[in-house]
Amino acid sequence: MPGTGLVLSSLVDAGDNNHASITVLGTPNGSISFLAGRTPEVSLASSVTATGTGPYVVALGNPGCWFVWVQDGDGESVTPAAVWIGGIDSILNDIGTKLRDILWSLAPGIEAALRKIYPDVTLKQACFGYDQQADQYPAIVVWKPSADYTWTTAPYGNSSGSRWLSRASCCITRKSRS
Amino acid sequence: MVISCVLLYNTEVSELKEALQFGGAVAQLLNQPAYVDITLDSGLPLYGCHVDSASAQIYPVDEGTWSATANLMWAGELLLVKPS
Repeated sequence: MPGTGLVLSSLVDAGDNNHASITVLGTPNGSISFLAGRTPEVSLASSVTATGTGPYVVALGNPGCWFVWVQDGDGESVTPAAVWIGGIDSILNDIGTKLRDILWSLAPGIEAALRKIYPDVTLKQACFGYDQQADQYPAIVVWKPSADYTWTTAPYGNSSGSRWLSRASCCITRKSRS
Repeated sequence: MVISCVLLYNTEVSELKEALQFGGAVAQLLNQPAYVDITLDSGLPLYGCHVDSASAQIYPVDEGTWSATANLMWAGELLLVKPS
């Protein structure tokens, strides 16, 4: 097939971690449908459900990067358009939350290991965020790698303390308070 | 993703052995086959998830308070899947 003459003029995140809104230019040969995939290879893409008549709303299913093709009776568009569904932070937050939940579900196993050292110990917390959220120990902190995260005093710094402990995302530094 | 496993002490600590045992236990549990492929609540699948390195540090927290922390580096890949 020669490929459709339709053009994806707009492809935007609908803001619900699932759908994208699509505007198509051109006159279709027959009905319009859409393909979507995780890579820019149409052979790996699949049909997606679309509603509306322009803009169309397609259900992509979950966040992240999607490549989208429009197709009609002449075939699919040669070049896909891309959209990122959801914020990058939202995926990282989902991962962090999932890890926290897994770690908390593993608490009995972690405690069994700790009891080789401290016979009566219990794991007090599993947190996703920053050190400040842990206030009972032993604790596990899954660090939140937020894109807008800069600096924080951690884990127990206070204005009268003699030292500050600071971290930036994955980097750990320590400096004396001046 | 960085995972910190933190022990807190009211006395000065000078060795990392216990923090490393804590972190090592967490790493072993997370590296079980059941957690190599996981699915987020959004439905997005991850694969090849594992803890691939660890380090430990002792932090002087405050007057008379110390922490020993094992930091684990956890990695996972977004799974490229066809939409359902």
